[in-house]
Amino acid sequence: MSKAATRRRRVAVGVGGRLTWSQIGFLWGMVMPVIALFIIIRVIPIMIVLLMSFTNFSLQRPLVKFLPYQNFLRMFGDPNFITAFINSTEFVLVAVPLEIFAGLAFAIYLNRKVRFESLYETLYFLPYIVPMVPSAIIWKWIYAPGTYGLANYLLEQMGFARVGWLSTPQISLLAVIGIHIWKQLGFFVIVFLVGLKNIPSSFREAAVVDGATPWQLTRHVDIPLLKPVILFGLVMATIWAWSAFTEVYIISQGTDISTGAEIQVMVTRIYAEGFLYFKMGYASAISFVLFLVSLIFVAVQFRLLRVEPL
Amino acid sequence: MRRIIVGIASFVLAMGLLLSTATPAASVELSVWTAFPELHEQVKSIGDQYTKKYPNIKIKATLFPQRALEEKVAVALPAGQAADLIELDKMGLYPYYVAGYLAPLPKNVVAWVKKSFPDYSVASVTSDKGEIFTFPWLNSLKVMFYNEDHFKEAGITKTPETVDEMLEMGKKLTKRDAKGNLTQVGLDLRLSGGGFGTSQKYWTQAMIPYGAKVLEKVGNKWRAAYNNEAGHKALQFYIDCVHKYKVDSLDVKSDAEAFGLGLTSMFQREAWVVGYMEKNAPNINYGVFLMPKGPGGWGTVGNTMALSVSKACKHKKEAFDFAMFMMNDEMSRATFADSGWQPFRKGVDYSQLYKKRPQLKTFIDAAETKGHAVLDYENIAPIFEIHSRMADRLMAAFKRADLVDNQAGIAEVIKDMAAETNSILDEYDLLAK
Repeated sequence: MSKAATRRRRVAVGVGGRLTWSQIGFLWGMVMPVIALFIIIRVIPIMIVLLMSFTNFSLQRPLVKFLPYQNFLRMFGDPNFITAFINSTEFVLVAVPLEIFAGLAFAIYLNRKVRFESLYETLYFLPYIVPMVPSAIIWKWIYAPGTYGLANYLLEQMGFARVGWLSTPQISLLAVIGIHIWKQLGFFVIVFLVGLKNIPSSFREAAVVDGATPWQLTRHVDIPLLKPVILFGLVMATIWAWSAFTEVYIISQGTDISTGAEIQVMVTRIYAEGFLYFKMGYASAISFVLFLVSLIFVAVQFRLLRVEPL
Repeated sequence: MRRIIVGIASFVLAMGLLLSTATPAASVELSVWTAFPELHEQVKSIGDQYTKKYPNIKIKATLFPQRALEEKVAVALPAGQAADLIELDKMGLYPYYVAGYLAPLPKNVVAWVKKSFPDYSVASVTSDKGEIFTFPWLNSLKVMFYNEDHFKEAGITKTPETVDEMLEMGKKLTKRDAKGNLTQVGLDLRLSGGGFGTSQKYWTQAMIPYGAKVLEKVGNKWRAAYNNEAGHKALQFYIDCVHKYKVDSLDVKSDAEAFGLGLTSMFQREAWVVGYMEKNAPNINYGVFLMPKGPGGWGTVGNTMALSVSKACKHKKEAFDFAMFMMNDEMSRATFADSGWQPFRKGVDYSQLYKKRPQLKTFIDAAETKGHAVLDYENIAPIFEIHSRMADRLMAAFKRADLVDNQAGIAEVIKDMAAETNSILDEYDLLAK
């Protein structure tokens, strides 16, 4: 009997702890609906977007033409796309490190048995559970021009000059990134805190016995053991930063904002091309570029923070 | 016995026939999508009155924020799932007519529209094929609003007639604090907000008086018509107002809210502001005047808020009838009074309304003032995109103080903007070479 046949027979009869055919069938039965849903909800739409990115498909025009490369080529000469790409990159480069470092710092601090720990946890987490639309509207009021906005009112009360929160593009983009960080920070604090609490205390106790200082404890015990959680946080923060939409959209609406076009990011560009100008083909091409760029960032993060199995 | 059975059967049959003729006709429900809360309420109110008149027809009005409505129409109309009647700006609806998703007005309705609406409004909703593709329901006509108390305080006794006069008055009306921050905006130009609203106000405020057009038709195609001296002067006017004479700023509140707060002396808007002021700023004394003349022309933009019947509508006859009911004399008066939106209808007596809100008369008279042009968007598919992308570039240009007395810089901004307009036209095979 060949090796393959022997293996098949073992599988069938469950010899040596292997699964029987009925067990395999049961597992497939359980997993298949989930896989099918994933394919229908995730894989097929991505494929459709990819296909659409090679067409001039418009919601207003029934005729569809195949464009092998034009949509992708167009991006290089489209100042709106270039601005959006640069802004999204800035969004990721500013928001992700700040969220991870600040999240980690607060989590390490809260893990040291501070008083009112639960209160702080709640306060940090509160912005995360407030929906982005009302949050952004409140921030828009804070950033409002003149002394009608809270931020400028306070600055003026303290003797400082007013800031063009919604009229200076560089400041406006940072102001929106600030909203994004304010909103997401609580999530990372909680995730890192849970990760820290799961590190067995024996590791820290052993390090303390060896004379480790608090900083050495953090650097040589907490952070290395938290690496998988940090990787998770990094991936989530990166995906969320690339896909930022609501905060940018809300802030750039209304007659008191004069930096609408200059603070656009990739997803607001996709929205504009797809749902304002109905150029679904071009919007799909931008979506696909966004997908690829996010994928590359995440792949690099996995490569750099890969945890070798013990 | 047989006779009795036949008699009973005949009686039952007769009663059945009698009952079936007495039952009201099958109920019809017409759905209407609108984008503005005050119009939504108006449609509901008119719908109730229509149902009283025709009990078998129910009107179901649904309100969406404007952008959401545009998205919903984009997805639902091609799929035949949109409402029976859709309210949107004419330029938003035109591409759907071209693609065959809207029902053009039937002959009897066309006759009524031609008789009851001003010629220019009929022309603006007439396609190249000669079909009227939508009802020119409301006129989004722009005039200038001014704060009477600010004028009195500055010793100004009349409203400006020319753009130069308006700028001079704007300078007198502008106030600053010790740090140089504007505390009273002499002339609010709508420098912000984005989208086609910003370019629309720029078109009205600067392009028309300096004689610049956004597009010009050459044969049956189009091209950008502002890459010229008139176009340069229009942008120069805005740059001077903001950076040279500083009668407006990017760092102040703007639009109707600022006017209602008494922060703005003059600004440009539509009739709905009259209702807004009544509700939100009843203590502000204000008046309105027609857009001032310029060296290149005199006029305003009166874009059409249209009402269309979907091609997939199953009760087109009823839908067209309801649309006509919405625009009859009585309903037009009610719409103007209750929603603040200006109906396009002509020959409607608003005298009672003028007694309460005298400002509204200027809006109605604007269309009939000799020499005062009322312009609307061209009927071409990418018109929304052209104006929206123009707005993006304009907003970036308005921030540039380096464009003061910089003809080369202004020419470059206009050249790039016109090139983009032409490339959009080219994409739709509409560019006149």
